[in-house]
Amino acid sequence: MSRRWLVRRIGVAIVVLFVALLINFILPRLMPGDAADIYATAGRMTEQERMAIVQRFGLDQPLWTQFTKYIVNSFQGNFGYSFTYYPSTVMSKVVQALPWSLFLIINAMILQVIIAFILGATSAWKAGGKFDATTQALSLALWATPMFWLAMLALYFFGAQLHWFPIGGQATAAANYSSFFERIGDYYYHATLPIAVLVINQFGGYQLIMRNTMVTTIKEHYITTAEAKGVSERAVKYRHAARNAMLPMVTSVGLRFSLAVAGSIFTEMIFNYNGIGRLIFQSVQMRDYPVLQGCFFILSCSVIIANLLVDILYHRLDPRIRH
Amino acid sequence: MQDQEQRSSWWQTALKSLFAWWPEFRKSKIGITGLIIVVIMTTLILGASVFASHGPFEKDISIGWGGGNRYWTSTWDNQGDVSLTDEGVAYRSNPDPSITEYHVRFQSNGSIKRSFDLSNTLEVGPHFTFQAKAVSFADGDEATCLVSADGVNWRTAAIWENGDDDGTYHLYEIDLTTDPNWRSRNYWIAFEADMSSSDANFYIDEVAVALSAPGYSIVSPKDSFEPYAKTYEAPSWEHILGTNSQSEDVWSRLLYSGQNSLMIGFVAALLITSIGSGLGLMSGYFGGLIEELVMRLADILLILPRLPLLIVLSAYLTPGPWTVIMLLTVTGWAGIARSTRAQTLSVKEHSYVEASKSVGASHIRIIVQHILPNVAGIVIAAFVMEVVVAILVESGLSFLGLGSLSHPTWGVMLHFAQTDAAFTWNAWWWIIPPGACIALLGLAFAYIGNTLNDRFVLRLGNRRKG
Repeated sequence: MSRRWLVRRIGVAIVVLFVALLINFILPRLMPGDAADIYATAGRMTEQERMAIVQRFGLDQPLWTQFTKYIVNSFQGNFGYSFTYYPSTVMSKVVQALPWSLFLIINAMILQVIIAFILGATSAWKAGGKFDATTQALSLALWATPMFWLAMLALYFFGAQLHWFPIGGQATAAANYSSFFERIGDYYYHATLPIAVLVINQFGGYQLIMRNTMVTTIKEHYITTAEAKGVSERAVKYRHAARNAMLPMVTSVGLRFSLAVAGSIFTEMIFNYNGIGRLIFQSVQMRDYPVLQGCFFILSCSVIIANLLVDILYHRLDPRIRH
Repeated sequence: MQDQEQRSSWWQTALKSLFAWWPEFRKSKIGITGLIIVVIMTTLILGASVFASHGPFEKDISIGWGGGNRYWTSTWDNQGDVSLTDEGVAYRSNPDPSITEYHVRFQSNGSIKRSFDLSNTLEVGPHFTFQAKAVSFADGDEATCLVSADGVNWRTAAIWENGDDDGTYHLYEIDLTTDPNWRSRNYWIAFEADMSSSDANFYIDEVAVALSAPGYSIVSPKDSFEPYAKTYEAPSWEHILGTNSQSEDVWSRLLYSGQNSLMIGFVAALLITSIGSGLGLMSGYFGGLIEELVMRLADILLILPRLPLLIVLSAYLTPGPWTVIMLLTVTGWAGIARSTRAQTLSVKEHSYVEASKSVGASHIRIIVQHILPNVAGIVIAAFVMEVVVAILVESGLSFLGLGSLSHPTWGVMLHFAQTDAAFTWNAWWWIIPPGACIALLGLAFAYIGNTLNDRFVLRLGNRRKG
């Protein structure tokens, strides 16, 4: 991997991060009224506390000073205070919520890739056949279904009606776990429905990529050779073809990370799952602008980092694009 | 073929390229299925005024003449003594009220009407009393009480306007004898409410007709006038998809909300594809600074998570259909710009483009005659897919409570279903239809778009390689 490429790629990531910060900086200042009112209006704030915030963010100073202070504060992880949960800081709320969201997203993405690997390989094996047509139609239909609606239905049928899964939360309240496995088991029990909804709604995208690459891969000569050698169909399909065809799908994880983030916002909201998504929903309802902006920034960060990591990985894995 | 193209003018070529997908498209079963669903749904949605059983903001509130009885006795029998039963229904010695169901329509330009047969009380002067209150009347909201002795000529008996929203019940008494035809057989009383703001409410309570003549004290059904709001009603012939928490007909709401969903999806997709492909085409064709600028901006937009960005932006802006369309466009054009640019770049390298250039063809001519037909497939397929994405994203934003209440969409419907705990009421008819509509319409468009992609875009791609 060339160093120039890496520097350029990291440069793009930093620019995007900067744009996210810029959006956060500009938006409240486009609102009518004083920026100080937007940042420091929590009901329980005393005049002294208010002044401290104004001081810290330079809200009584010219725009340029405000901007530099904002950037400096951002890099220190200081995004101000939550309106609703004052004196909690934005950062503390966000940091509490982020691991839960990542738990959902990463589990869901792994499952999506596995399902897409099998379905995509199988449907491409007999491209144009009945199985291919059905999976394509089905995954398109699931993609077009609103995530939050799917989540509502899942919660209603499997939670409220059948009582198979809890109807909300991310863990049993006030639970005393005797072992690590019990704790993890409880987390997964609560996360089953949210993850299932995320997977069902979003696996189609990966499946399509997998299928299309697989279709071209199985036309390659080495597949014909393998078949001629008498390698079993199963082995040709998975070990020879699918393994080589999965790279584009795996690398699309970076770009599709932001879709998974969007999906987790809805599932968390429906399932009362205390992640970033639910925090966003609450902040929208309470118009808790600082927290909302903090969430946007942290999600942008995770998406940017995920993109960067996958790109670097892709460069390392695929010798063909190293030039 | 070549000769024909030579003869036809450039706009004919352009037009032809716009519909070049059709002969291939009609062979696809899945594409045609999508098209049929889109046509049926669009017809239903656009013809909402014909297919909807109720108005866009109409609430179905039946009237109980006491005790939550949903029926209103439509005629009085005033022979003999007047007495009131415990239920408050006015019966005389010969209780034979012909019962008809009655609906109060609180809606824009709606009215409730009720006739009283006072045929045997002509010698006494009827008075009509009722209590009413108005809540959060905004500018332009108005409610009126109208009375008529013949059902034809109406006069205004009371009026509630902007200022009357103190939220408490007031007693109103209207002397019906001031009407010159008061000795007629039937009396009609109507309430009309013209409310443009959706949160305005007008309540009527305790309606009675008092016959205030010597020897009569209060005659008539003087029991409270109880609007029996048909909330969370299961599907029936009258409400084929039941009612919601606001006594609105879900089927009608579905169609009218569909208009807004479809409009937003369509306009946003149109803007996204035209701006995106325009920018992509220009940066591909001209290159240079434009390309650098557009493509770097597209890079940034493609990395930033779209939904969180949209949420932050819409939290600061006033909700409305055009706000959503604008936001969707600003955040959504990058993908199409990128693919159009790539396609333009590859077409530009073809020898026939070089040839046109060398004979001095203008940029416009080259773009329209050579580039456009080759990017049309991508753009049309992208447009169709973008409709789905726009409808989905809009419904998501509305569901989070960032939608426009004045132009409710399917997402707004689901938002209220969620906040009013529709599932706790087992009101599946309120939750399943809007989501199913989004899914069905989205699926249909996705099938069309996918077919276009398969049959047209990929084919083009293959031809380019060969």
